[in-house]
Amino acid sequence: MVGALEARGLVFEYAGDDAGPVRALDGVDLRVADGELLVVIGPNGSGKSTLLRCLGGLARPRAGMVALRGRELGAYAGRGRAREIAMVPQYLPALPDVLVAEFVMGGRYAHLGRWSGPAAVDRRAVDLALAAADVSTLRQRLMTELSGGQRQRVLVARALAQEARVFLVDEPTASLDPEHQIHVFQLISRTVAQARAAVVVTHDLNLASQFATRLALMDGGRLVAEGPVGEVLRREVLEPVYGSALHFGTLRQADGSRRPFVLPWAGGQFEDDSPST
Amino acid sequence: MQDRSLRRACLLLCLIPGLVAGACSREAGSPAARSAPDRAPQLADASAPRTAATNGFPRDVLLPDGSTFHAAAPAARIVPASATAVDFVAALVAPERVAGLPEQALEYSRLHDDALWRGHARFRAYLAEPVLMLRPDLVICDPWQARDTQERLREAGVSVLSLDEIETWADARATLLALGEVLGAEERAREVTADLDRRVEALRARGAARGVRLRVMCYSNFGSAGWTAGSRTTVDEMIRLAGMENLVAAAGREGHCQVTFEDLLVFDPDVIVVSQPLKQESGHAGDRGGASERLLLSEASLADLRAVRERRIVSLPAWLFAAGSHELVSGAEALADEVDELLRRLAAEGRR
Amino acid sequence: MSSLRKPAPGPLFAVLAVALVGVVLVSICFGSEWLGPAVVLRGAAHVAGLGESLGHPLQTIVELRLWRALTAVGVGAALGLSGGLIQGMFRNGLASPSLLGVTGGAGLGAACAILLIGGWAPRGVLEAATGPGGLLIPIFGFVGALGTVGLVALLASTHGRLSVTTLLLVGIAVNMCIAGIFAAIQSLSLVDWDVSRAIMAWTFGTLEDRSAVHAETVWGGLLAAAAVVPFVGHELDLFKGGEEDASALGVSVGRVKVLCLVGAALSASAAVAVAGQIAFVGLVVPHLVRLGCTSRHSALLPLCTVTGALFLLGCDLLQRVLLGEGVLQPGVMMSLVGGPFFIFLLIRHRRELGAW
Repeated sequence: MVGALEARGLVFEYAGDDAGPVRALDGVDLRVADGELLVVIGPNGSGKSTLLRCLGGLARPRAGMVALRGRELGAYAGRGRAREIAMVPQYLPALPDVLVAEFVMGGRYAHLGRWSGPAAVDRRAVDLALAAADVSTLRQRLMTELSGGQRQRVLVARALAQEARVFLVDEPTASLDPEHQIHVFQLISRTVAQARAAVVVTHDLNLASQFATRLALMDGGRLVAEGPVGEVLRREVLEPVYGSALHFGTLRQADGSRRPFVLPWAGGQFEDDSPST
Repeated sequence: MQDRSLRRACLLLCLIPGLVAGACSREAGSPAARSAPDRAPQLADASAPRTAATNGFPRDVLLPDGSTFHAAAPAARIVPASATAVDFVAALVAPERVAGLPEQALEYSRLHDDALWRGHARFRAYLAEPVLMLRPDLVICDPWQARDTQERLREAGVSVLSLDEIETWADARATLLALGEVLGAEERAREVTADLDRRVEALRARGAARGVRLRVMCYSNFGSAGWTAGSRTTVDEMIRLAGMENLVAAAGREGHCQVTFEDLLVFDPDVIVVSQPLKQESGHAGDRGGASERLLLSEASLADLRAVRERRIVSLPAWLFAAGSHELVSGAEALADEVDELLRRLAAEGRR
Repeated sequence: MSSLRKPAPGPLFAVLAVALVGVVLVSICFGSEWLGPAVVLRGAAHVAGLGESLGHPLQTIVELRLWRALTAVGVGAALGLSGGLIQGMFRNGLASPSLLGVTGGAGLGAACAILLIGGWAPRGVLEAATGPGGLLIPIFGFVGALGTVGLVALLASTHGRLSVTTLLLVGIAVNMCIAGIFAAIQSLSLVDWDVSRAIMAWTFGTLEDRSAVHAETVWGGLLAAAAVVPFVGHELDLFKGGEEDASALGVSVGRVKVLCLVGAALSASAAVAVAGQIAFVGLVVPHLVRLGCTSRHSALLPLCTVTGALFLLGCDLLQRVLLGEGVLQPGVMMSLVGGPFFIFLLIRHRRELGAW
């Protein structure tokens, strides 16, 4: 099966200080298929965001290549690529004077003709996107008036409006409260369920555990582990990367499956009501 | 910790201007102590012997602007610093009494091509140091020239005479006589003035004989804006002495002012006066009227202007056009000559 | 939200355009002598090839005023549009066309042309210089302006990519160099009174004595820049989130930057070459439109043209009515009127000003 998005041997360097160029990515292979939610985790500076930018065509790797549905990413024109890949950035600068509806309509750029404004099909796509992200009631508000959670959902709505099949999401829950964190991931999960592929970068190991189809662990520009959740969220895998202040446990899901959770906690021990039951 | 040292630094910065101001005011407090007698400078030791009391010197001369100038002795090393000053000095004294000439201003003075004065030292810029190098005992300058330089020269013990603004022939005449007194050349001043009086009278007669009172304006345009001269300018005075009317002054405009093509069309002058280019602009040899005339003749919207159609454009040499001294009489004569020549040409062509 | 509802762009454009036509008519009627609208319209008709000439000198005077008004409209529109493009590209409300070196370069070019006219050049050059006649200065000014922008753009691009921040810094540096050379020319030319006065007068800007060619030049630059607008209007809105975000949405960021730069450079160069240095328009007009109507560039940019034209011509007319002809340079009334008005707008809309 041809992966929706595939990266082979990605190397990305940027000019460092006197010590020479710094390798943010040192030979990364990755693939994600439709219907998969691949979550990329790793410590700060491991190259997660750089990886995402290379996958989205926003940064040109020094070596290696990225293929979208079998075709090299560079072969796509700007608009063509934007119709296939949607990025949800971590944050955007303050946007005064911009209404939510206008902002989400920005996602339709790749579909608009040069000489015509938004057509009915574009407006419908925006409506659907707003509804899917559950922000329809906010459409006439200014972007600067939104709360953190609302803004995040609006960003996802814009990506939805792009009607792309691949989502690249950078730290969607960085400044959200727990309830909204779950909401955003649920939204992404629903999207993926509709035959889309998503690569999500996050710090939150537990959200990754809940929602990921597969996990990829990065450290120092390299992919050190990849696979289903249960295989990656294990002490032997995580301790070399994150250190030893981690506690592990499992939770039973409604469907009977067991998902691991990871608790960063210095010292301490689980008591009798151990979560492993 | 850092906060306190920052505060101390700021306080210090605020004190420094205060200290500087205090020091300056102490210096400025006693200007008199710094002038001539105590600091008889080494520079101003004139090579020519100066007799302590020459005829009528030292004297206080009343200048046309009402101020008094104290002349200790007839100056032996005069430095005229402007074109106007050069004109006056050249008319009143022999070359031996002049220590140096201003290089740039010379182009606009009577001496621009005078062989007699070629050997004199020149100074490029009106600054204290180059002027002091000439060891002057008297510097004559225009009122708009650098005050700082004047102060520095006075502090160095040099007498500085600042001429008053000259707008009319009467002003020039009075200045000539006053300068004659200052320089100990009263006799010469009277001769020159009498000669000028005769010439002015001759011009008046020519003007009357001409019969028609021509409406004249001057024009200068080097590509960015058109300029003319209204009342209270020397050009206006020249036109008047030549027996013609400055229509710009008649229209109520004063001083040097801008003038548009539309104004030219409305004014419809009988004659336009332009300046010939300066000597070094040899690119258009034989092109007497310079850039202004070229522009008048080539501008499409002025093609129907009577002055352009009939080539009623005369030019004056740059130094006369800009004359600010008694030489404005020479300028008026040159203008009268040019205009009479023009009228002869037009008459020959059957026009008036 | 602002207390007043803002007008829609379309109707506002129509209203401003109509007002502009009115102001143009009044501006042509007014002068050393008031000419009635009927006379003006007949004279204008003759220029267009319909109807008879009004005779000399009336026809020429009407034509002079007509070219003056059309040049002013073109210059105001070109500077307004240029300002809108530059502020959109730099995403900064303090940017104006002079940042790129347009004004400095045009000044340098004009000074060289004036030196040539004044005769300060070898003979062969001088003969060639008499050809264009009075148009020598606009030509040199235009070449100087475009050349400077080209230099700035060249220095600011690495590997074919134009960096906006580098553009800003290089622009400042090049402007300083040019200012130095210009100052040197000014002081060296002091010996020739006519030449140095002409150079100084150019820097003050002028709308007087413009001819058909001046009007054509500035309108040419304006139309070339206007042609760029459909290709960058929508895209500049998406720039607000940053260049990378815009790229992710499918905008070809490099092309948009180049188009904005070229459009802004052409229109500003044409305007400054024809009318000298007229400050303030490129900086203030986009703000006026933003605060008064919209910040969507597809509407902002066209509104900038018509607002810039109205602003310049209106202030110029006001100045001529109150103070008489040729008393002050064009930019002065604009700064005197526009400055306080701008401050008033800024204070009223303090909250909205965030990123801009």
